[in-house]
Amino acid sequence: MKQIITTFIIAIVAMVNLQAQKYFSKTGEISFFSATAIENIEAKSNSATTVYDSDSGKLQWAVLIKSFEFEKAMMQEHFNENYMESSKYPKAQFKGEIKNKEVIKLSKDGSYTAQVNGTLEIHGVTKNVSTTATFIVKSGSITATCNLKVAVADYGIEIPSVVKENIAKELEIKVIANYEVLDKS
Amino acid sequence: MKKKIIVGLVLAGLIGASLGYYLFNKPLESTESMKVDYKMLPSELLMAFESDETQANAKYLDKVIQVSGTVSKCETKDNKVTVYLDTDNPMSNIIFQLEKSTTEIKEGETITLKGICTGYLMDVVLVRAVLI
Repeated sequence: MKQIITTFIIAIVAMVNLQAQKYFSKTGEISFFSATAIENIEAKSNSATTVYDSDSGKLQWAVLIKSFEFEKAMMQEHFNENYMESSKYPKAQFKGEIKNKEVIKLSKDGSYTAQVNGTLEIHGVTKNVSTTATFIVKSGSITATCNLKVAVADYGIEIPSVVKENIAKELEIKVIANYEVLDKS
Repeated sequence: MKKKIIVGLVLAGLIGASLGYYLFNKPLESTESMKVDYKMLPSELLMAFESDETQANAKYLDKVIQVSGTVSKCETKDNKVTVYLDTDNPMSNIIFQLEKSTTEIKEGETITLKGICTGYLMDVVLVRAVLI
């Protein structure tokens, strides 16, 4: 009898553990910032999708280029039509993994620094990236943030010489997500 | 005569410059006043992207789409309201990012929204949406 109960408890614990392996968000925030002496340009999307599998350490992000919002209509139009060609390349994606997944305990309160390696695809061009991200767990809520720099030229994005001075060669990108546990139901 | 031409040129220049300035600084137009291109049900729109994403992108990207459906979730974060409409697929929704913050939308309700289609990730995402 005791054995049955023990097995039963182990099974339940295992199930709970299995369920808490994947984390996701569909309202990830990605913003980028271009700072030059002439003007500052900022745009933001609030609808990036991300999935993190704490078991394998695999991390994925995807965002629709057309979901970036600018302050000025004309900037948004140029961004989509001339630079990002968003009808041809509708999304940007990151696929990679967290190298030090053992130290990131998303079920326990704390602040963790993750070493992230993977590939970033923007404008149809894929490049290797490695960066660090911070996971903050506070009373069950998980917030991940990451700052990285992306050189426009690396992704085959051509900026016409007339506006070359208005757009920074390197954009500062900020990524924030509040992860939820993915139920397996 | 010469004076008139100069005055004319200066005026034309001024009008051109102010028009340019106006166009450059123009904020985004509200979806409220935009004409609806397609009226669809959530599952219909999702199906279009699930079956052929390239074709659906060509047809629906940047278009104003009106969708009626049941709200499965409504979240507010930093004043940004996100509405999820149910589809046949439990993993995928039609996601609307609203143009203006509102507290009117409740889970389980049937509502109609229009928004600009930005494409498909796990869900079809529409931005700058307004309630109808």
